[in-house]
Amino acid sequence: MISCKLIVVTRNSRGQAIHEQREITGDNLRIGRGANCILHLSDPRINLHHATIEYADDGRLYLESTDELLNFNGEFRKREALRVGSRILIGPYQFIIEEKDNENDLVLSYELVSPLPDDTTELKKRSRTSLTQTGLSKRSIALILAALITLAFLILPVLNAIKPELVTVADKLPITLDEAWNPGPISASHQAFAQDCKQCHSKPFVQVEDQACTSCHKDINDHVANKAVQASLFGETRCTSCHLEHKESHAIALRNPALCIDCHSDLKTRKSTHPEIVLNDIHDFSSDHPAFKLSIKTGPSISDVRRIEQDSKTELEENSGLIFPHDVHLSAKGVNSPDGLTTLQCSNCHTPDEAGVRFKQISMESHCSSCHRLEFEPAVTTRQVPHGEVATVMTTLREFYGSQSIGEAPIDVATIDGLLRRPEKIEAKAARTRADLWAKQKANAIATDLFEVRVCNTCHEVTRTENDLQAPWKITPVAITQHWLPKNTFAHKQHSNSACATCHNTVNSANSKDISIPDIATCRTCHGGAKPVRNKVTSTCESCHGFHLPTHQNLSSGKKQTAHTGIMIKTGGSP
Amino acid sequence: MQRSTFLEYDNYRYLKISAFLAALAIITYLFSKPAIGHYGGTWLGYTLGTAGAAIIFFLLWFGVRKRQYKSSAIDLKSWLSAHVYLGVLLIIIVTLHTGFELGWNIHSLAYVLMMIVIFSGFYGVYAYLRFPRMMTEKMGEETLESLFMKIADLDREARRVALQLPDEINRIVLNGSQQTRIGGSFFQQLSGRQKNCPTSLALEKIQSIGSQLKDEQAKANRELYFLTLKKQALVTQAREDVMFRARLEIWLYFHVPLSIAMLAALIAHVVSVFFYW
Repeated sequence: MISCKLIVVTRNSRGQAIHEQREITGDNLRIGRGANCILHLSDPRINLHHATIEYADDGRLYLESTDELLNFNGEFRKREALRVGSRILIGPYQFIIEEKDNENDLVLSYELVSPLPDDTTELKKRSRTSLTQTGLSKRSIALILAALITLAFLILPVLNAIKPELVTVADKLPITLDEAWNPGPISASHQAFAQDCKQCHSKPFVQVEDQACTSCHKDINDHVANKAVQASLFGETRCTSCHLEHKESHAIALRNPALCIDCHSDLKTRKSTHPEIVLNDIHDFSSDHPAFKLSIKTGPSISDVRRIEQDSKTELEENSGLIFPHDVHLSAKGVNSPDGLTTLQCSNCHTPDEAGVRFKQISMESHCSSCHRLEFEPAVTTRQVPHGEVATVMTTLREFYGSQSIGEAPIDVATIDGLLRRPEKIEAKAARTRADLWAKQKANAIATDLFEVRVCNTCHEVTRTENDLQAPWKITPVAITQHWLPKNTFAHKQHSNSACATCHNTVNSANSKDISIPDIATCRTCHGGAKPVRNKVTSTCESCHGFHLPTHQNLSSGKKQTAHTGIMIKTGGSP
Repeated sequence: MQRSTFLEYDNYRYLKISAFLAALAIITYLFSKPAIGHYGGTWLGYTLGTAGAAIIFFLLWFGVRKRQYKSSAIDLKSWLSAHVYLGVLLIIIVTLHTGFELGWNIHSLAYVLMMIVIFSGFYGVYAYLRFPRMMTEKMGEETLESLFMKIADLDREARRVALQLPDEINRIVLNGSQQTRIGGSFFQQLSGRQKNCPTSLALEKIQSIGSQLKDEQAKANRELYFLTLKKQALVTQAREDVMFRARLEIWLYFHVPLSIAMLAALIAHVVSVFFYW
């Protein structure tokens, strides 16, 4: 039987201890919150039967926990003998073994040292009921994001532009600092250098200057050759007004008719200030585009070239100096040749140039000589006069007949001293003189036959001249028009799906003065204007015209008319 | 009569203004045919860009205005109404400004950020119009404060009843009172749930263990069960309230920081355009 004096310690509001005593007895003292526990502790942190105090065989009192370890003076034990002064923690209670008195086996005081906290306060403490309590701050997110963006997209690119040596990391970034500022794809031809903005944007806060373009495009011409007129008409216009970069990766030359029509639809109001303007207003290819102007050689000189409208009253004819009937050459029956009748096609003579734009120059050697042979001596078909200067032809003839007159293989029987003799039988000086005279006379006779009767005059205009007694003929220089419409960018290759005759009526042309360049009506059968129309190719100004065509350079300067007019001049020589 | 919301403010005054400006912008866009195509650098592009930037600064000013205590409620309602409708207008103005060209660059970053800000604002409008009413319906007379006190009372009562019940039940009840929380982390607040909620666990245990009890203990256990059930209902109610608060608040975590980020991107955009003009 254990008799125990129990001192319950509580504290008042000022924290002073209040002792309350009672005595309990039993064979053992059960501690717990259960109703069967003599030392009843009403706290949820205490088990129903938490521990027991009882005598052991050694006659001492022991405290034994039923389940968990208990804190005996700071050490955790399951069972421990009770000694005076011992402090034991059971749940939230602290037990102290007090000095024994005479009446009891044990004096035990206990105090609730860890009372349950206030539930409402604790619940609030545990609960976070607004997002701001989670520690996530809108302000800090905002500042971090703004700082990152400002650094990456403002400070670094600006620094990179001003002092690139300071931004060494720029090359290692997934997209370069310049790319981060690039508003759109750079045209393919500029991509090689345009990853570096400064190549074109040379000065900060200044629009791209024309110099940025012309430093490479050195030969590009203005729209108008006269600098003063160009300046007054296009003063404010910069390259980038029409050539817009960062738009697409294809070419940056804009194909918008509005760019041309802006001015060309209202030239008449500009004529008052710019009387040099000769063009009329135009709105669209399909409506009021004027008739084509052909570059035509109008006089004997190669600079006598005028641009004449196809619908003008003047009859248009080509003065090439060449006699060439297309109808004979293109006859379906064929044309006489050394191999008999041969049927020719356009392409036999007109072979496209490498660009497929126009055609290679026609030459006597390549295109004519296989039929038009320059043989002069019927007995010797292997010899021909050269296709070239009259004097050269004459030299050839004289040399040939000279050699015949003294050679060993006579080809002819000459009359010398009234007798038919072989010309090689020349022994005396007088005889040689006679032979030489014969050779000259023979050469002159053959030349006359060649130039005036049989060969040269077939294709060339040949006139007699008294200026040169040794070569008394003049061949009109051949000037074949290579480009009738030098102000457009027409390319034959783009039209290769059409037969030549679709546009060029040459089969029935008997005269080389005929011009078979199609007129605007022919073009309009396929080409519409800027607005799409069914079964027509939508065609803007840029489809045929360039703004900077180099030929324009000479439009008003008059310096290189041939370049402007596109006439190809062939003088008598070869090719 | 129902009080008009900020959307209906002054007979849809700002809706009308915005609709007019939007129509003006769209018609001008459709009828102007820049030779070089629509983009930010045409005269219309610059005009729309300037207008867009002006509207952005006006909308950002709302954030400042809102925090000024001197502003009256009516004043703020007018500002909010303008803020919302001009925000919608901004989508049209700035999209036309871009000429529908986007890429991987600062310019499009500014645009995308702006769109996120505006669309988060749409959610905000939806939330403000819908959630407060739902919260009132769900809470009735209660407040979060009163719910906390009631939950705490039930906890105390449950612990008291559980004292006489087996240790396992007692422990789980104590755990339920000490570990249950309302709200919590960002996602817990938004979900309105607590994973492995101690109160729900307690309820299960009380039911399963309690079925083996007899007499007085069975009676006490039944009482405990109803107390915990009641607590669970209150906890759910409180969590739902927190969830609605979080949903009312969450969009601002996008709207506000991204609007400041967008301002930085806008400045970078404008500087870059004119730096490399």
